[in-house]
Amino acid sequence: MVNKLEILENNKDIKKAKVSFPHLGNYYIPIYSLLLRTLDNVDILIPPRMTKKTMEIGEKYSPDFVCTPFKYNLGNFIESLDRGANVLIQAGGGCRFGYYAELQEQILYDLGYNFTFITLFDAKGVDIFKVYKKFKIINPKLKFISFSYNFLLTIKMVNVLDKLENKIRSIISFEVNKGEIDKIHNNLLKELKLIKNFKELKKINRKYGDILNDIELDRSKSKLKVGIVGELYTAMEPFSSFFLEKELSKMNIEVKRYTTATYLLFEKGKEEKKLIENANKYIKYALGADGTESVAHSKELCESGYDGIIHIKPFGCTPEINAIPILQKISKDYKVPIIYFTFDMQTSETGIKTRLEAFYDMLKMKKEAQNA
Amino acid sequence: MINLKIGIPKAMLYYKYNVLWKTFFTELGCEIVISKDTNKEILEKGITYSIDESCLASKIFIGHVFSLIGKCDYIFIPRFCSYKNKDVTCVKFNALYDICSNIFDNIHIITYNLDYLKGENEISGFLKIGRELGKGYIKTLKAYLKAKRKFKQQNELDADKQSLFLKNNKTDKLNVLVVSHPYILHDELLGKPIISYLKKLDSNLIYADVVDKKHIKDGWKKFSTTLYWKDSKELLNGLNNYLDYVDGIVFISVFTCGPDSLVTELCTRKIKDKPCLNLILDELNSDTGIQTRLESFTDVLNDKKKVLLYG
Ligand code: SF4
Repeated sequence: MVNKLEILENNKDIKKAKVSFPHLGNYYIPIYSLLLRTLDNVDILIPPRMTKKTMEIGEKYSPDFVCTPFKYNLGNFIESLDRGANVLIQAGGGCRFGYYAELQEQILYDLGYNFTFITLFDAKGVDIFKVYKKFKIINPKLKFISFSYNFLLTIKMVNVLDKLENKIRSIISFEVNKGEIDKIHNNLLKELKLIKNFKELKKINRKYGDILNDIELDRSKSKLKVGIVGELYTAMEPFSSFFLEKELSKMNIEVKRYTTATYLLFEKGKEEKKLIENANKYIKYALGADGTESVAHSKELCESGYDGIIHIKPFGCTPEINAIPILQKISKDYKVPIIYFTFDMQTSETGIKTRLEAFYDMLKMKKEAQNA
Repeated sequence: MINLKIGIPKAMLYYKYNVLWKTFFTELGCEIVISKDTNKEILEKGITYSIDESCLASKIFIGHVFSLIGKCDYIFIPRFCSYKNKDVTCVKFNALYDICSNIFDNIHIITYNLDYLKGENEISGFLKIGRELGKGYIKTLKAYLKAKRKFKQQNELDADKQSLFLKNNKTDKLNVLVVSHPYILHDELLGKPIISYLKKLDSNLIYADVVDKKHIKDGWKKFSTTLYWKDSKELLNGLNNYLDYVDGIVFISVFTCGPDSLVTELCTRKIKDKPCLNLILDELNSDTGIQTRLESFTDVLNDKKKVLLYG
């Protein structure tokens, strides 16, 4: 194994370090902002927006049955490397995510790229001091006190982003002036990116909270409420689900989604026991990764009057496959329809749309029959 | 008193723990019913009752469970999650209990939960089974200790046998190392046909899963720095232990297996000096397709060996 510091220093002789990372929904904003504030000695590269091309590149160099997020990440990395990145950051953690990093690093080395690879978290979770040490590899002058301030600020940013996006998700299907919320959303992202301290963040939080509260809504339009459950990457990276949530809002369906970074980082760990207890009619043990959540949240959605549930996952995602037979039972017991979507390179977007429309029609008919 | 009948599916971790489980239940005075070797019918039932994308090994497991329903008082489906040193199992093993209890209405399951990270260890799990079956504490404890002893002995015996064979092996047959989970390798429909064909092609087979687990613990580090799946680590320990003695390596995994897709890829990228063959089995595999690949693989190995021997 080559010493990472050495590579980096060698790199510095040739060119300045350029740091990049994989995409995950809009979280590139808090990540970018963290890097910007703590690594002032290097360039930061946000990977190019995800496209079909990203998928194809990732697919080409990945082993066959590795799950889709691996391929997307790899695609992001290659596109960044091709644009001059020489330091790559991978988050790590989770089901197979933890093991991703090592293989991705190997694949990229074998492809002949010269770079330093940094994995932030190991399977054991988030340890701020360990993360600090990793950042210090890139910026030797970084002080712990300044890092921890910025790290906490970033976490707060993630919280704010999640809170506001949850709000958007729940109202966008009711907006009277089509496109209004999208515009607000974009502005929010732009402003969030430039934040430097807690005060500014607080201001933005309040400002956009107010704006969203004041939006003209027509609640008579939509009568359907749907919950999204399933694997975290697919839930959080819209590109990987063909912008499923957008489609739903176009159909005037109100959407609830549990999975956000805030949830995963701060609530999931505390909640597991409670979730299993609540769902003990169906499960005795945790099912692995997000499988337990899928089951417990689906039951909760059924009990709180949701009309349907959409379960999403990448192809071959074992923990979610574990959950499906149990979801089928829940669906039968509560008579709430659940539709299952699997996403991978072969999934056809039109196929998904057609099935989604049929699902929508079914929910509508069911609702009308109930109301009649 | 009629003995309780415990059904054990001959699939998944049965192939690792059967001595432990069988001895334990026998010592408790239970009658054991083991499902048949995997056959077409078991496979088909497994496919019917499984989600399409499940790994083939778990589908076969479901088929075995189905075949035991109505033939015993309890079906034994333990749950595996984490081990002493924070290693974990493939998440499939986290859920087999709950999957089976949800898909089969008329099933009685007896289980134990191995999850050290949550304080659930093996001995407390076995004691709980004893309680559930109405056996006394002392009797259960004795049964467990005996089972554990036999299990360890068996493991050492197998490992010794293989090492001894390697040491004394004077034939100039090919030595082929097979790296595969025991439930794939020793399954009647999955690994067995491959083993017998390789033998027919005149090779000695060395098994990565047969290794002294007590003493050989760190070999996996040669291939990976971050691996945390217990079973994969053990396979890689075997791989590392036998690597120098063999001419080539055959990796066998099943369709949609996540852990193996990552681990095998990393290994084949790191092993530069020995030919590797990666076989992925699915429901539709034709024997001939696999046989052809095995033939050309052993041809390559034979050629390489000749060059080494005769220059
Ligand atoms: S390791 Fe692979 S084959 Fe074994 S249970 Fe997990 S997914 Fe299935």
